[in-house]
Amino acid sequence: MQASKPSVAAGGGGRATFALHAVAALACLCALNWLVATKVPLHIQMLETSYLIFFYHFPSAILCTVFFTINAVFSVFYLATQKPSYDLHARVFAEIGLVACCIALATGSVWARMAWGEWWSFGDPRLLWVAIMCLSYAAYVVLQQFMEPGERRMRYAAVFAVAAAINVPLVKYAIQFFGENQHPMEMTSSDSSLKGTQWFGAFAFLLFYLLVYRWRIAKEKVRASIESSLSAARRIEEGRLA
Amino acid sequence: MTVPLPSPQPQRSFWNAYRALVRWDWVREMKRKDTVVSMVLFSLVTLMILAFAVDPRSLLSEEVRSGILWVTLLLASTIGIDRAFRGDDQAAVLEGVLLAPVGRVSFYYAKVTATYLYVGIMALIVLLVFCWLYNVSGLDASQFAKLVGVILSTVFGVVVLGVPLSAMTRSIHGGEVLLRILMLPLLFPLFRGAVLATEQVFRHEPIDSQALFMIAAFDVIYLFAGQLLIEHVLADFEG
Repeated sequence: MQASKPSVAAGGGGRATFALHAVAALACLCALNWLVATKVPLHIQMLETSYLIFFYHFPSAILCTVFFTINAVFSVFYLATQKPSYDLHARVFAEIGLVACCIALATGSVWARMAWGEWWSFGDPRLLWVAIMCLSYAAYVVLQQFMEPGERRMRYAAVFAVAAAINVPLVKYAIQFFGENQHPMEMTSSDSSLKGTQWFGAFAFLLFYLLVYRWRIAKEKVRASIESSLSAARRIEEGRLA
Repeated sequence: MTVPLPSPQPQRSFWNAYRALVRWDWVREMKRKDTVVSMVLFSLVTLMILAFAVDPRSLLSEEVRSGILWVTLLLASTIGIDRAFRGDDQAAVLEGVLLAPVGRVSFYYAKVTATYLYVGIMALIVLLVFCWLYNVSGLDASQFAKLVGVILSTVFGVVVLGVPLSAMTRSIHGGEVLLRILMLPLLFPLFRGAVLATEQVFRHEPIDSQALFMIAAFDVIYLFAGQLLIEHVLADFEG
């Protein structure tokens, strides 16, 4: 009986659902572009059209904190049960969270240039806190690069993830703690259609990031399968030589 | 006739192990003095370099002084934390302790106490040198006591976070660099609170309660997080 061949594109549920997922994510991102281009009024802000980047900045900013929180939950599960699958999910959520955080910082920086006239402002506590959170999770990824794959790496990564997660809620409360706010708090609260576009954007980006998540999980499973085959072959070879 | 075995006394064994480990670390440091001396020398060099890095007129500003003091203390304290688990004698003792029936938690608290002693002594020496070099004057006894309180409580936060991370990076190739990469971003809330509180002491103003809350919350949260996580960090000790 032949073992089923792992597929990079398949993720957890086969090629067909992966393709469907990809099409849905692409369609939602196109729909978001259309909404931003045609349905969002340009006269509500003093910043002319620069605030339109908000509909791309907000989804990544909110989703990165969600992904980091999920990373912490999986890390706690790993420490409690020592199941390697929890480590894999924690690692991939941290990676896509880091990508989302970088996108949020990059779009925020472009917007800051248009709105405040500078690429970066150290006077804004939330911006600073998001950058620090980004560095913490970059350190999480670096920790895994420094170590050989194995149980110890999983355990240390989970320990660090729990320690780093304590910073995540502070992103929300940074402005309350340290004031000096330049950051827009309730950008679209006055207009329900804008709020709808804002949350549709979050949904579209969520589909996109989950697509990346499925692809990474599938890739890691292929790698694990190759590594286990190689180690089995090595054991057989060693047994034959002995 | 069978002799009854003595009942285990976990509370007593916790304190015995704690005292023995702190004493061992302290005696070792008093003999060598390498950790405190290297931290203080590094701090002096950093204080001088930072004084050259900025406009001399800006050194009169409380914000700049507070920032310079904390950058120096933070970088110097990473040396002491890194050395908490590094070195041949540390590895041998760690191996012996972890083979003995000593709880990981008492080991964690002993390491935190010993490391806090060195880093705290270094911080107080650096504070005195800083006040002399940067002409900090006009602080009365109560303000100076507040400044010492802010420094010691912040250093405690640095140590409770740093000790588990130091234990993690002790046997990783390039662990010295990795420790700083892991530790410094997580210290940001504490650093921010400490800089604000110190700046307010330099200005002769009352310390903002939010800054103090940030420092105290960080200390308590990471102390208990460290106590919970140290079991996992030391689960498979490899000297």
